[in-house]
Parts: sequence; C-alpha cells; structure tokens
Amino acid sequence: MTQAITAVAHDQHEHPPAGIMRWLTTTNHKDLGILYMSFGAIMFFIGGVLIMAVRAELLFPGLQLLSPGMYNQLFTLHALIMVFGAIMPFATGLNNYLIPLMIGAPDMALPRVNNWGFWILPFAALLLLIPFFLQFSGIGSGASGLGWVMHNTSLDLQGGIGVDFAIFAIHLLGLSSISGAINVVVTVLNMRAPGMALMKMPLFVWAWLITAFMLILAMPVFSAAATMLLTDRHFGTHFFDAANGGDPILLQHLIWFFGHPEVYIVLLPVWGLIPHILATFSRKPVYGYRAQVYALWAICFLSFIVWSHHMLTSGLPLAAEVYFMYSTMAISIPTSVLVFCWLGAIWRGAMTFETPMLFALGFVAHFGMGALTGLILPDVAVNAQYHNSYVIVSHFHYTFFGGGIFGMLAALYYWLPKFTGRMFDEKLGRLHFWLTVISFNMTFIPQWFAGLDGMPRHIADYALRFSTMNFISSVGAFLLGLSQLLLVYIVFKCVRSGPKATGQVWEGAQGLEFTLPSPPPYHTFETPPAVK
Amino acid sequence: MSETRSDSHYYVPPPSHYPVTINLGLFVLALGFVLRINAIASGVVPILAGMAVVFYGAFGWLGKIICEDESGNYHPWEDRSFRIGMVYFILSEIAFFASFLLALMYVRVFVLPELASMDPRYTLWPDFRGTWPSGGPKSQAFTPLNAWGIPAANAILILASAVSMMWARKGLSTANRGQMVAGLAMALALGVAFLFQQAMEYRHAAELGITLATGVYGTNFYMLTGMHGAHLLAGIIMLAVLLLRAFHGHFKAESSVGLELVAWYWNFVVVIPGLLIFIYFYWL
Amino acid sequence: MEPDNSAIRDGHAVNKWLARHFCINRSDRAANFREWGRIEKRLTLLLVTVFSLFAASLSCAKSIWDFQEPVTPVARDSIAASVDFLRIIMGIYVVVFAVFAYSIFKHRKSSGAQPGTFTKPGTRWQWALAISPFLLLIYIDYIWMGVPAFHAIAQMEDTRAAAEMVVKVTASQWKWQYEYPEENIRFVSTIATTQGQIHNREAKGEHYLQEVDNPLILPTNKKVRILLTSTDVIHSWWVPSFGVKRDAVPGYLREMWVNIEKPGTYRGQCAQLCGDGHAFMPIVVEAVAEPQFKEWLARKKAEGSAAEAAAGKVWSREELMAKGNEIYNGVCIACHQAGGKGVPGAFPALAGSKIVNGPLLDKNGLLIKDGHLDRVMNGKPGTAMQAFKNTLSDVEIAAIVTYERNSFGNRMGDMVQPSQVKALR
Ligand code: HEA
Ligand code: HEA
Ligand code: HEC
Ligand code: CUA
Ligand SMILES: [Cu+2]
Repeated sequence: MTQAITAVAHDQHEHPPAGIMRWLTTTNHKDLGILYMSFGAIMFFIGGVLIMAVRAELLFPGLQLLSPGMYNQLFTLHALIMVFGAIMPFATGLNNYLIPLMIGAPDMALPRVNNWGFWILPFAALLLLIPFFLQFSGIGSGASGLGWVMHNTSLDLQGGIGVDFAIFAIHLLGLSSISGAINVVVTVLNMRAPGMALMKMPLFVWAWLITAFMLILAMPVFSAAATMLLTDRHFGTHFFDAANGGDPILLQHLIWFFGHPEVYIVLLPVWGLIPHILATFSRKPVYGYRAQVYALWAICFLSFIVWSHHMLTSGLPLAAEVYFMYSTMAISIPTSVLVFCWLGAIWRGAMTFETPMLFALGFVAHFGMGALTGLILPDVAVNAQYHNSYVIVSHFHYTFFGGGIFGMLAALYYWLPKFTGRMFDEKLGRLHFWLTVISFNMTFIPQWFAGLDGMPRHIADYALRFSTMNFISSVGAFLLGLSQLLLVYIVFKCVRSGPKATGQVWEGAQGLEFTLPSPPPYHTFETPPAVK
Repeated sequence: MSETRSDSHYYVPPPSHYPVTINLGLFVLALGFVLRINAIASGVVPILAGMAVVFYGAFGWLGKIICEDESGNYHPWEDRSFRIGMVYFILSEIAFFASFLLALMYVRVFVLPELASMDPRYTLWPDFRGTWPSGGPKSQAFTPLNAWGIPAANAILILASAVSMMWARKGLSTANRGQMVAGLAMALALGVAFLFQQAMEYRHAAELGITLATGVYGTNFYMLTGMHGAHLLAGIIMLAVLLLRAFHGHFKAESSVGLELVAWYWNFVVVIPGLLIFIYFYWL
Repeated sequence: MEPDNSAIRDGHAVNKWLARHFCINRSDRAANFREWGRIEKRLTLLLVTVFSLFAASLSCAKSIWDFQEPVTPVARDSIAASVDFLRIIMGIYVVVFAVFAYSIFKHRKSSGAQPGTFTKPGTRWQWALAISPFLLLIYIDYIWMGVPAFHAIAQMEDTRAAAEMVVKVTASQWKWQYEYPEENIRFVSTIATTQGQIHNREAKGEHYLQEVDNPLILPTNKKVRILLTSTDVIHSWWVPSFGVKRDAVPGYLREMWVNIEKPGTYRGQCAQLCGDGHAFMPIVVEAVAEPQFKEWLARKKAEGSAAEAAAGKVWSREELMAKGNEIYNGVCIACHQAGGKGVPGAFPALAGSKIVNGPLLDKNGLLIKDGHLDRVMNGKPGTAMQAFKNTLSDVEIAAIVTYERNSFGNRMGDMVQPSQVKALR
C-alpha cells in the first residue's frame, strides 16, 4: 500500500512535458478544460465567419456572391460547427475545469479517456471541412449541404462526398461526446469529496450530470442513423427507400430522437450555471435548489418523448400529431420552474451589474423569448405556417445564441479571472454586452417577421416582399460579428495585462472553486477537502 | 464513495500519447474509407495504416492499464470508476442496438402496412400486401429464413456462453482458478462457434436469394446480425485477452474488475441483443 | 460628476469625444464606472420601453403580424389561433419581464438593498404565489391554447369527408407536376423567372421567384383534396394563404385539403430543403370561379386529345428537334445545363455522353437497360435523374431524346417516334 501511494505521488508531481507535447498528452483536467474552451471559441469564430457569407448573400435579393450549392454548404457547416464544435465543446471545457474543483476531486475520474475525447474533436472538425476545401481543387462537390440534421433522406442519398465526410465526422463526434459524458457521470458519482452529498452539489454539476445522461442515450442513436445512411448510400441497403420497404421518414424519426434532446443538451449546462451567477451578484443563496434539480430531470425525461414536433408537416397520423403537440407543451412547466427560480434568485438581493451578471440577465431575457416562441410551435395547425420558415430560424437562434451563447459568455466572464488569475476590462465587457444585445436583436427579430410573412428557410435567394427584413437582419448580423471581435480583444488583454484577481474574485461568489487561489494550482484537492 | 475508499489518493495517470495516437489512426482510417467508397483514390493504404495505428494505440493503452492494475495502482476507489464507466458505456451500446431494433419494428409495424393500405384509387403500389416477412413492393424475390435451424441453435449457444461466463466468475470468487479458466475458455469457444455458424447462415441466406439489397428484409437481416457479429468479435478479443491474463495468473477475488467488466459487456451487448434478434427477427 | 478636463486636454481625439459625450474619463476608473452605470441604467430603461412598446403595438394591431391573407377555412382558423397565441406569449413575456425589471431596478446594492437569505417560499401565501403561475400555465397550455389547437388539427386532417375533387401533386427536383386524375389532365409547372433576373443582369419583376409557366388552376368554394408524392427527394408544398404545408415523400401518398373562398392568384414555394434548386421551386395557384374552371378544363382536355392524336401521327425530324429544344430548355437545362455541358461531379454532360451516343433500342425494339431511352424514361433510382415517363408525354419524350442525340455535337442521326415511346411504357 505504501509503495502504491508513493507511486501515485510521483506520477502527479512529475513535471508535464513541455511545449506541444504537454497539450497533446495531458491528462490534467485543467489543461483539457482550457483546450476544450479554446477549441470551442475558435470554432465559434469559424462558424460565424461562414454564416457572415450567408448573410451577405441574403443582404439583397438575387444571387450575388454564392451559388445555391455553396450556400447550402455554408449554412450546414455553420450549424454543425456552432453546435458540435462551439457550444458543446465549450460547455465540456467548463465541466472539465470546474466539476473537479466544485466537488473537491483531484481530477476527472478517467483522465486518459478525457484526453481521448478532446483530441477527437480537431480531427472531426477536419473531416467536416476537408471536402469544403477539396472542391476548390476540383475534387468532389463540396461539403455536405443537407442541413445540420440531414432533414431529407433521399437528398442524402444523392449528395456527394461531403455527406460521407459528415457521416464519419458524426461518428467521431459521437465517440467524443459519449466518452466525455461517461467521464462526467463517473466523476460525479465517484469522485465527490466526503460530505459532498448529491443534494449538496452545485447546480452546474447537477445540470452536467443530467446532460451526460442525455448524451449517453441520445448520441448513439445519431451514430446509428448515420450508419444506416452510410450503408444506404454505398452498400445497397434500403432503410429509407419506399420501393424496397423502407421509409425516408424513418431517418427523420431517428435523427430527431437525437436532435430534440440535443437542443437541451446544449442548454442544460447553461441552465446549471446561470443560478450561480445570479446568486453571486445578488449576494444571496441559490433559490429553489431542489425545485431546479427536479425540473432539470423532468426536462431530461420529457425531451426524449417529444421528438416528432420537428416533423409535424410530414404527415404523421392524427393521434401522433395530437400526442406530440401536448407532450411538447408539457416542457413549458419544468422550464418555467427554472425561470421563476432565477427570479427568486435576484428578488430582494443586493444586485450589482458586472459583465457576467449583465450576460446572465441578458440570457434570461432572450432565452425567455426563444422558449416562449417555442411554446406555440408544436400546435400542429399553426405549425403548418411556421415549419421550415424563418420563424423557426428566429426561434432557435433566440435559444441557441440568446440562450446558449449568452450563457457561455456569462460563464466565460464569470470564471475568466479564476482561469487566468487576472481581471478583465469591465468597461469593455459591458460595451461588448450592449453591442451584442442590440445587434443580436437586430439580426433575429426581423427574421421572425419575414417568417410570418412566408419566407422559407434554406433559400439562397428570396422574393422581393422579404427584402426589407433581410436587409435589416444582415446588417444586424455584420454588427453582431464585429462586436464579437471586441471579445477577442478583451480576453487577450485580460490574459496579458489585467490586474491580479483574488481567489474569491467576486464579492458574493460562493463554492469550492472560489476557496482556491486564482488561477488554481496545477493539481488541486489531492487530498479531498471536507465539505460541511 | 467515502466508505468504499481504501485510501485518500486517487490514481491520476501521467500524460499519455496513446489517446491522441488512436485519434490520428481513426482520422486516417475514416479518410481512407471515404476516399475508397467514393472511388476517389484507392484508399487501401490509409485504411490499413489507420487500422494499424488504432490497434497500436489501443493495445498500448490496454497494456498500460493492465500494468497499472497489476502493479497495484488501482484500489476499490478506482475500480468503482471503471465499473460505473462500464455501466454507462453499456447503456450507450444498448441505445445503439435499440435504434436498429426499433428501426426493424418501425418497418414491420408502420411502413409495410402503410405501403399496402394507401387509398386504392391512387395507390402507388398496387398489389402489394405488406405482410412480414416482406422486402417491400419492388424487392427481389426471396425465401424467408427459418428460425428453427441455425438461428435457434445459435440462440442456445449464446445463452450457454452467458452461463459459462457466470460459471467462470463463480470460479474466481471461490478461488477456483481452474474453473475460471475453463469457464472463460468455454465462453470464448461458444462465441467462436456462434460466429462460425453465423457465417454458415449467411451462405444459406444467399442461397435463398437474400442479399443486403433484398428490400428491408435483407437490409435488416444483415445489418442487425452484422452489427451483432461485430460486437461479438470485439467481445471475443476481450475474452482472449482475459484468458491470456488468466494464464499469467492475473485476477484475484478482490481485484477482478477487468474480468467483471468483460462479463457485463458480454451479457448486455452480446447476449441480450443476440436473443432479441432471434426473437423479433427470425421467430415472431 | 464633473469630467476631469485634464484628460481632455492631453488625451487623444477618441478620449476627448468619449469624455465630452458620455462623461467617460479614462483617468478616473471609479468615476467612470459610476458614469457607465448611469448610462446603462438609461440604456436598460430605453430598451425596456422600446421592447414593451413594440410588444404592446404588436398585440394591438393585427396587420403588423404580416401573415399573408388567409383564404381557406384552415388558414383563417390557424392564423386566428396563431395571432391569439402570439398575444398570449407576448403577455406572459411582458408580465414576467416586468417583474424581473422591477427587481433589477429596486434590489440594487447601490440603492442600499440588504440581501435576503431565503431559498424557497416560506409562508403559505408565498407558496400559493409560487404555485399559481404553473396552474395558470397549465390552463394556458391545455385549455386556452390546447382546445382551439385540437379543433384546428381535426379540421386540418379531415381531408376526405365531402371532398369534391382530387388533385394529385407530384414533386420532382425542382418542379411540380399537377394532375387531375378524374379529368385525365396533367402538366408540369416550373419557375418562370429568368436567369438574368436571378443573376442581377436584368431588372427584377414584381413576382420575382414566385412566378411559374403553368400555374395550378383550382375552382373557388369547392373542397379540393390534394394528394402529394414525390419522385426523388422530400419536398413540401406550401402556400401561406391556404394555411397548409405538407411534405411530398417519395414512395408515399400524403394528403391535405383546401377550400379557397376568394378568387385570386396565390403564391408560395417549396418548403423542404431539396437540393440546389430549392429556392427556385415556386408554387402559383390561380383560384377561379366554377364556370371559368369548367371552361379551362374543357380547353385543357382539347389540348390533351390533340396531343393524343399527335402521338399517333408520324413526326418529322424538324418537328421533333424544335419540340425537343423547347422541352430541353424547360425541363432538363436546370441540371444538364445549356449546351448539354452538365456540372462536373453533379450532373453528367450530355455532350459526348456514352449513353446518349449509344444504341437506342435493341434488336427486338425493346429498351436497353441503361440506354438513352431507358435513362430518360425510367431515370436512375437514387440519383437526381428521375423517371420522366411519369411527367412527360410520349411526344415530349420522343422529341427530347431525338433532340439530345442530334445536338451538342452529338451526331447520331436517328430519331424516335412518339408511337414507339408509347409502346415502351
Ligand atoms: C449554437 C448555434 C448557433 C449559433 C451561435 C448561430 C449564430 C448565428 N447564426 Fe445560425 N444556425 C444554427 C445555429 C447557430 N447559429 C443552426 C442549427 C442553423 C440551422 C441550419 C440548418 O438549417 O441546417 C442555423 C442557421 C442559420 C441561418 C439560416 C440559413 C438558412 O436557413 O438559409 C441564418 C441566417 O441568417 C443564421 C444566422 C446566424 C448568425 C448571423 C449568427 C451569429 O450569431 C454569428 C455571430 C458570430 C460571428 C460572426 C463570429 C465572430 C466574428 C468574427 C469572426 C469577425 C468577423 C466578422 C465579420 C466579417 C462581420 N443561422
Ligand atoms: C437550445 C435550444 C432550444 C430550446 C431550449 C428550445 C425550446 C423549445 N422548442 Fe425549439 N428548436 C430548437 C432549439 C431549441 N428549442 C432548434 C435548433 C430548432 C430547429 C431545428 C431545425 O429544424 O433545424 C427548434 C425547433 C422547434 C420546433 C419545430 C418547429 C418546426 O420545425 O416546425 C418546435 C415545435 O414544437 C419547438 C418547440 C420548442 C419548445 C416547446 C421548447 C420548450 O423547451 C420551451 C419551454 C419554455 C417555455 C414555454 C418558457 C417558459 C418561460 C416563461 C413562462 C417566462 C419567460 C419570460 C421571461 C424570461 C421574461 N422547437
Ligand atoms: C434534377 C436534375 C436533372 C434533371 C432535371 C434531368 N437530369 Fe438527366 N441526369 C441527372 C443526373 C444526376 C444524372 C446522372 C445519373 C447517374 O448517376 O448515372 C443524369 C443522367 C442523364 C443521362 C445519362 C447521361 C450519362 O452519360 O450518364 C441522360 C441521357 C439524361 N440524364 C437525360 C436527361 C433528360 C432528357 C432530361 C430532361 C427531360 C434530364 N436528363 C433532366 C439529373 C437530371
Ligand atoms: Cu423542393 Cu425544396
Ligand atoms: Cu425540439
């Protein structure tokens, strides 16, 4: 036994290899957290630049910049990169860095698996992007242009090499997500410091535990669907071909069985971290802890039984339509529990409005809009007007950007001093917030009205009646993109020359991670702390 | 948690290059595969190279784990991590298999009846009856497989392998090493026999006119059994490793995670889907 | 707060401007923050006012919702429901946001608020307060919105009862075929907007991208059952004014219904991503009164029997070539491009194609598998090349095949007669 302990101690205090090898081989959760987050940030910018080209094309009616095929590739890559490359890895980075600190663990439970999960991502991203660049040298017809969830089976059967690349990218992303999720579950269930009972865990940890659970159940279905697609495309199977007893709608069922939980997978980590931030800057304890944990579980459960609300125009039987309508509406109940708990968190607090708090409140305001617009979408008869129109695009950018990205930005500003040991420029942070709020709404409110007016999504060119709204939206999008450059500047400035941060960082901050110095040492909690 | 901890130190492995090596291999493998199926380049070289790198990485990693295990780095606390991890990994495998089984159910319960019951005046598939087994309106003709030949025998084989696995674990816990080794070897042999029989069944199916492209029938037959066979093969490799380790005197009653995890994998990823395929594809 | 003028004196232009207009002064951090706080407070107020004015005006004025005019019972119902729902959620948003805003303005550290320590509802009254929104939400979800929603669905899905006529819509990449099975009429409808307009070489017309060569003609005040299917990928038939959108799934029949109450021209487009031409797949429906509809039917039928007769007669090469040129430019050019050049990697060139320059029929006068006529009539399953025997007439197929074999530099010199095509169907 003593021999074993010295071996352990030796391993942990060995200096990590220097240079690139440190990052390639690291098993340290903080290193991997930083890697994940940086990767997410880079992908956010790539996804953003791609969609800027789309918005430029949509600035005026007529085709100016892009061919329709190129247009399809761009928004497909945009969506895949934003969802699987930006938001999910960023959230995984946060969990890597923070969960061990929050529950008093020495590291994630399976450190090598952790490394494996991260280093798949750059390869998966490469697979997505290779065909896009190959087309410029005349090989193949470019990246997949079928939409992020491949809405249309038979179209998939026609697409070029881009679809095959995307299928393998999806397989690799699946490996990454599942291994990461397993790691979270094991860490949370097995690595808590003594006294850290489940119902004492910070909400962020709870939210990630549930997210991981959803990933483990949903992601393999996506891989299975991709496998069927691959064999249908190249090996003569007939899952999706009516003449041979298949059904194109089967792919939609499988994909949305994954796709709907996926949108909550994106948002659950954010729902988990928002209460931390609201509580800190209201100088109050978290409100409604138990209610929120139960609500998160309820959302997890409901998310698996509502998938067909994405296929309400595909001609499901009447009974199925009614079922999916009512079950989808049920999600509004646990979700509003969360909203009212956030209200409880700030109510009668002593609030200050540092950048993270602004972003957290911005999250609440915009997510509220996205979610409430979601509430009316499942109504089947009305959905016939909304489905595949810009109404949907507006809805999900309010939840993905207004919810997801605002939440990630709140988290970034909140924990950035903890990660870097330096404070960022508060004034610029606030400027970033206001610019983002204004340009974000300018981008996506007009899309809502264009959609009501009958503008379908996925179109490279539009009728004249949609011109005004698209013009405003495109200008808003450019401003939104430019505002994000400020973020880059803020982060660089913070890393290089910000004033030193204290361990506590924020006056009202609570939680184990704020008992450590900023930045925390390379190895933390090698002996578990005692939790009251 | 705290009560199961044998000491307060958790083993955090040092940096390792195996994970990233495997990923490189996977990437090259995927690339080669895409090139090959699209006839852009032969792709054989990257496929083989990718596979070699993946195997190198996987065995290196596995070897490392075995070394760490045998040199006493793992205690009940670490073991527990492996166990929980395996449970959730199996859960994800179950979700994967469930997708294929549910796709079969969808075809049988919804697709075929719907194709056969369109408004008769406008139907796109006149004269299609839509009763299982069927490959769909335009599929090649074929004779359905009979459940009570090789499939039933195979179901018994695989059940027997689960039993011998159980017997092996019993042997371990009662410190009867001979029983453990015999049990493992038997499970392995039954698995190999299953695979062999499955190959016979494929040959038989081909004679009955069933190919991968024989409508949904052929599609589901080969995909389900193929996926199952691939997992079985992985299970067999695991069993072989276990057997080798057992010959080297590994595994004690109190440190037997490796063996137990493989047993779980074998039961839930190999045996249960195999039985379900037998019941829902061949029999009912 | 007085701005510190020294910074203005020696700072550079941006600082001066900031200091003058926003009282922002780089040298005094604390003061700056306070100033920023004040500006933000103003910004927030402004934003809240704008948002709520916006919301209020939206929930009052119906027109601003900007739906296209509903002209069927389903559209009227669903748009009325939609407007109601939008008001409800706007209402919820304004109320909840108002409570948030109240808290944000009242419970600030700067106005001396002392933080509470409660973590859940305490008194019975607070519990009631906490539960009531959920009861209200359940009521809204399942009664207020749920009941009308159910009725709307039931109405929308009631496609067969008392349907007075049937129209079958067959979607293909990137056109619609309309068929009146009872009248034995069918025709193809494709976009009429010119490439020049799309590529900004000509001025765009009023109905840019929403105009077609052959619109669907429907009678008013009649329940029309619309059957949908597709020959290649999933498309979706959507005319906003009719309140219906339904996917056309290859190999399956889907249905919906319309009963147009007002004569007029209604425009929509394909609403399911279906490949490169997805944006260029418009739908135009002309609704006319019953007598005009009858007239149109009669005319169409006469054209039909003329075509029938034409299929019987022997065509000259010139006639076939002229007709073929016309069809090529209407139907095939979208993929195979002008001059039969194709798009490398996506659509094969017909100029010099082995198939086009291969034999036409075998010794027995039957189709050669993967021959030219076979490819055009039966398409190639799993690719964009569809079976054109479903959408083109005998004459058209004969003409197009003859045309392709003798154009783009192909010099086969042979030709196909409509009667031959008819026999091969
Ligand atoms: C997390 C998810 C996420 C995020 C963050 C975003 C962010 C944005 N999205 Fe995206 N989007 C999706 C997920 C997301 N989107 C999905 C899932 C789809 C559906 C795809 C499908 O149908 O298959 C979609 C589709 C989609 C469409 C519809 C395309 C179509 O149907 O035809 C549009 C159109 O406007 C759009 C716009 C934008 C814009 C302007 C942003 C902006 O917020 C981006 C802002 C960020 C940047 C711009 C990057 C940072 C700035 C720089 C690098 C500086 C350079 C700047 C300039 C040159 C100005 N998105
Ligand atoms: C993170 C992402 C996210 C989230 C959280 C949601 C949340 C919801 N979504 Fe959304 N959705 C998407 C992402 C998301 N969605 C995407 C990406 C698509 C398109 C995919 C594609 O086609 O490409 C989509 C599409 C989509 C559709 C399909 C539309 C169509 O294509 O026809 C439907 C239909 O029912 C729907 C419904 C809902 C519902 C009921 C919720 C519910 O969860 C909402 C429940 C919440 C509430 C009801 C709000 C409660 C709040 C209050 C009570 C007060 C609020 C007020 C303030 C805060 C001031 N969504
Ligand atoms: C939606 C796109 C599309 C349209 C419209 C279309 N085709 Fe094609 N066509 C294709 C594709 C894709 C192929 C290649 C099929 C394959 O993979 O072999 C093809 C192949 C062909 C070939 C075989 C060429 C070769 O050398 O392989 C012929 C001949 C042909 N088409 C004729 C026509 C005619 C005639 C029309 C119009 C009546 C037409 N096509 C309209 C997409 C289209
Ligand atoms: Cu047809 Cu989009
Ligand atoms: Cu959904």
